[in-house]
Amino acid sequence: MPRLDPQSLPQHLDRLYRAAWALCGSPHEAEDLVQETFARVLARPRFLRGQDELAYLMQVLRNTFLSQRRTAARRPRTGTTTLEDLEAVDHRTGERPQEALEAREVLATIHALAENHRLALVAVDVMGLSYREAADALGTREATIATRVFRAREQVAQAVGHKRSSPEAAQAAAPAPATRGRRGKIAGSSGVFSGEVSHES
Amino acid sequence: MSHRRSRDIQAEDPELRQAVLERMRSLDSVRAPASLRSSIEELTRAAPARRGWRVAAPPRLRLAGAGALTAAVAVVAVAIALLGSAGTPPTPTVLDAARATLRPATLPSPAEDPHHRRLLARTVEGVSYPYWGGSIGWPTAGARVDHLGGRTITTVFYATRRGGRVGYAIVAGPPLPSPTGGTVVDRGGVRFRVLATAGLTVLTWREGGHTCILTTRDVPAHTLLGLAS
Repeated sequence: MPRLDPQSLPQHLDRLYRAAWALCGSPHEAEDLVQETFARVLARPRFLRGQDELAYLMQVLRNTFLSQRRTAARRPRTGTTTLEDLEAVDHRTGERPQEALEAREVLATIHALAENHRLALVAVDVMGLSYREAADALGTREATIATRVFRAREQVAQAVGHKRSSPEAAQAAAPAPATRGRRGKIAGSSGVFSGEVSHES
Repeated sequence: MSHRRSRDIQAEDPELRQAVLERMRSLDSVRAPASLRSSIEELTRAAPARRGWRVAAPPRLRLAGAGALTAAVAVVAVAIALLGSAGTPPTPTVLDAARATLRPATLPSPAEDPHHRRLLARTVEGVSYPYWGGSIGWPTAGARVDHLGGRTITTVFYATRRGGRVGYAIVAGPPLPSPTGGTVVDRGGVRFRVLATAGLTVLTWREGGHTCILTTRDVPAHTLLGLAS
């Protein structure tokens, strides 16, 4: 049975961070969630039982997220302001503030989804898992994932102002495979994704 | 079966999928911050040293020859890219550092110093963490290391008798600028500043040329002050 190679995990860091931000709705909480996820994974040797690394990380991320949320719900909170609420200056927007702003809007939109829909969309559209992998990682059926992803996409599209056109127009758009390849689709760097975008215009 | 088929078709509505994925391209700009990257790299490096991990090959062998050259070039390229894009990171504030102490522990508790009963074995550039087990009854409860604005913040957590938690952070490097506000108390020639907000208490002072921070939600400020001084 293949073992998880710790040295290969940092390559998934950016993707996992985006997923965590979408789940938590805050970059600071996302940092904690990712760090805790890696700490759990790296606590001892892990075996990949029919999963690949990314699907395994998604599974641990989801479990850690749910566990942290339960813990936070039990912790008594007093007052309305804490240090955690103080926003530090964000130096991560880099040289493209418009893109960074749009990314924040998208992440906030995903965060506003119902939890089941959010997890499904994050697994498929942010992490880039296939429906089957997402179903394994989230402990549910493939058909359930498909439905949740559809509902989540509908809500995201509605929130960002996308207008559905006629069925004919939908047919004219690029046909989508039943399950998608992983790397680069969401990252926007693959030829497949670029091709789909060009159809839209 | 037909029900499932219809669901799959719905989920793959190409127009909808395309519209959402196009929006999500903006997520490319979201990268893990350098502080998180450093922490993860540290965790990754430490993993094989833990019990149960099997080290695949000696590092010297793995980095031999062309592999070493490739790795060196990659490291230099990343360093240049980071320096070129980010420049000198801004110095964090005490509140930035205090925020790290509110996060969960990710490292094991440091052991007691065998030579000094009142200290832990962990130090930051010569400044030690206190041992608050024993009569005080606050055993250590893990640790974590954060990298913020080019500074390393090492936090040791203590579990109080009533199930609360106290974070004790020492910031490596020169001291951080002192915060404004709060209450200033001089004890034994050391100036302590107490900041309190909505149930959270932050105590900060300088020791051995470094900024030290105690943070808790569960212990009164005067107790912290008594222990720190």
